[in-house]
Amino acid sequence: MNDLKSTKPTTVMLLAVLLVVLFVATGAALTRFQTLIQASSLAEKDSIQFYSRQFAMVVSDSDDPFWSSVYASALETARERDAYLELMGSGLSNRYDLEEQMRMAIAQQVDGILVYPDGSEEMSRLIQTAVDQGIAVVTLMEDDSNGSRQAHVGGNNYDQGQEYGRLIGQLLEEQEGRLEQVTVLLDSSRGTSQEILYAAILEACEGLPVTVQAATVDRSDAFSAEEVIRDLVRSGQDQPDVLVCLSDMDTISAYQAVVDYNQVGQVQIIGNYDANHTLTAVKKGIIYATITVDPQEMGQLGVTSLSDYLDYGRTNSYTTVELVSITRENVDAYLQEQTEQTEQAEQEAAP
Amino acid sequence: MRGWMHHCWTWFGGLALRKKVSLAFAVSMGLVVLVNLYMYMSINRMVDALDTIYASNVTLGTLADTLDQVQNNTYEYLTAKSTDALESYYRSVQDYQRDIGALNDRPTDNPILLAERNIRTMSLVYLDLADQAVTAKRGGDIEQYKTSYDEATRIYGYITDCVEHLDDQQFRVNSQSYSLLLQSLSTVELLSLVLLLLAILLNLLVLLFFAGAVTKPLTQLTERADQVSQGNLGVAPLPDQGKDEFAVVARAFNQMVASLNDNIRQLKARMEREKRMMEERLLMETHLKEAELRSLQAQINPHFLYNTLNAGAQLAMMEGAEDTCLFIENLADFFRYNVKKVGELSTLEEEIHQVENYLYVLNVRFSGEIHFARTGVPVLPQLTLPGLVLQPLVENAVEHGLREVSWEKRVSIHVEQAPGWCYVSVLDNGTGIDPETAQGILSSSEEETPTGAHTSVGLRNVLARLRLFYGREDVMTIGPNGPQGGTAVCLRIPVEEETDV
Repeated sequence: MNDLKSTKPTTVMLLAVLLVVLFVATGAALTRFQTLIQASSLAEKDSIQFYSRQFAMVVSDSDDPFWSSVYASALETARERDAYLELMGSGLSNRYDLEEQMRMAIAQQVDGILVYPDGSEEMSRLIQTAVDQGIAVVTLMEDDSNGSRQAHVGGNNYDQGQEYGRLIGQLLEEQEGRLEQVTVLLDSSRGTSQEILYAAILEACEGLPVTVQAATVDRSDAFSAEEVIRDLVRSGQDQPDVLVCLSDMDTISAYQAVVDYNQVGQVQIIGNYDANHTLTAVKKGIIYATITVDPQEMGQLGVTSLSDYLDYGRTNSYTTVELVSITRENVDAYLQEQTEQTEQAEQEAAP
Repeated sequence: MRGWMHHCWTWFGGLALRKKVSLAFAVSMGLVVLVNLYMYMSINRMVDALDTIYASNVTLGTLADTLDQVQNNTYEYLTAKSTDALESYYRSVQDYQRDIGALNDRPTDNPILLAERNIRTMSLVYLDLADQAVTAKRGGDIEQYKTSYDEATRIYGYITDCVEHLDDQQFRVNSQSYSLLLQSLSTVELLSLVLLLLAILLNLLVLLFFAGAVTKPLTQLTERADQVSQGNLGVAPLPDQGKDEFAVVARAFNQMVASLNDNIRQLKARMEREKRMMEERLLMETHLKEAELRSLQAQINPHFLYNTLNAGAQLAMMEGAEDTCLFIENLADFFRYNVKKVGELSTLEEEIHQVENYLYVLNVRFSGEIHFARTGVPVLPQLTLPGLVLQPLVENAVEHGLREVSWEKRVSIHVEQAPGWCYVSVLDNGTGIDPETAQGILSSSEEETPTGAHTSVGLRNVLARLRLFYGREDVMTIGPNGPQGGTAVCLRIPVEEETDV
């Protein structure tokens, strides 16, 4: 037995210990693996964040870069205020129009609604219904004519019209009076606000050697706006010297039309919103200037108004978002500022 | 660890063979069963998880069906106003309320849970509206029930859309989970297989180990038995441990080898002893034969001389020649003793008397030039020694030590006693002997017969006989006789107790 212990068993023991270690390691790996699988499914549930409030954001075109930007900023602010903001209509197989979205939001009994109303009576009625059911409503950009909403956040239309007028004057000066025809693209569905805006433009252009006229675009058809813009750019003698766009989509369409029909320099564009394409065009000089409200500020202010109202029972009924004009001179500085803001937001989101 | 294992090993070694085999089998089987059980359980758990994956889709499907029922029943009641339809309506409303009760009702950023909450809130509004419509219908308020029904139908549309969307989302998530789980399952299967293989390997090792433990004693026994059968009795004994059947055999084997060894040792010793005795007897006989031969040679003349000398002594007596008579008598005694004492024991006194006779004869021959003296203690009367020992020593002293000497020649015999010993020395004042020669004489073996001159032939013969007689080597020393020169030959004779008394 001493023999057994001294010679062969040493090897056998070594092998046995090795095997046992392998055995235990495999068993442990198996157990650990199963625990991991279970943990991963649990972790998914753990990462779910619950909030005490639910808000809905109702806009006609949720894919619009401007509104995407507003939504991102609003969502962030909402999380900070212990609420979740849902962008209505996104992800559903049916494409719901503004009113349907509004109805759905009301049916979902959310705590608050951010809405970009189209100025229709039905919308006013729906806002009234929502308010009646105890849902806080904040209008964005466009105010509700009825005025039953709790608060409004948007650019001042008059100020915006004045700014357009100022830019037209500035352009006229630079072009040494070679401009005659100014066409403002109006949205047929937007009522009062555009009227105020248009009036302000007319007021600002008074005394300038230009003719200002409006081109109304019917937006009930998805592609009609673009057709109208292309027609205008193509219209030869009658083509406008300055095209004033009041929405971001119009701005992009106008820019595309001018480039396509080789009318750069012939038709000057004063646009709206700071979409990347627009800013690039400003940099290149294809678009003379663009006026924008800060979408981030808008989203943030909108949610703040909702939360303030729900928390304290009152809020500013009218909040103005600052207007920014971007021309070739300040486009680089503006871009840099945007980049810095984005980086900062990313850094905050990272941890 | 080692100590613990050694403990286990000792315990295992102590088990009976039957138990050892059973234990090895039980341990290996237990191991495999354990691993199988573990595998079975883990795979079972995974399969269970797979089963539950699409449960949420099923639940949602049920919910959609119930919603349809509510809507249909509402419609049916509103059109037919039958009691059956109303009953079905209430039943389906109850079912639907139960179904939506399971949905999430907290605002969240998780799209699925958010959709659940939206469905839940819209359903509550929808049920409220449907209820309003039904109530209005019962109350006959046509305007009201139409409005409420339209409103309810619109919301029903929203809900259906949301449910579809949720179903879609859930299906996507569940499909991901399903494929993940499926992958995991195959991984688990693979791991389990590895585990099983390892278990089998471990099992084999354990079995080998146990089998080794069981058969090792047998192998050892066979090896040792082989060695023993080849005549190697010096094998190490088998380790005496354990209580099993092999241990009994091992003990018996060890005993057998031990007793075999014992017997052989005894046999060898006896053979050794007999061989030595035989050799001694042979040597004795050889020496005796030699002595006999010598004495026979000597006897021829001595017998004749002895008779003649007796006649001569009587003649001298008759003639009145006293000295001549004494001389002849001494000479006759000398020869008689020589003849008589061959191969016999004699006393020391007789030996000394013989030396005196010899020296008397010599002194007559050489006109009394050798002086003889006896010194030391009185001689023990019964101290016996082989015959013809002292005379050859004295003859040797006269022949070699004193022959060429011109000074007064002296020979003496000195007797000394010590407890158990008697020392008899023959001393002369002759030329002495050099140490090499003395050493040569003392170290020469008994069989060696000196060739060359008959130098110290007598001495050697005496030495050999004494050694044989007493059975010891240290019977004689040869050295110088004090500072004045000469030779001292000292005999060391053991004194037996009875002679001492």
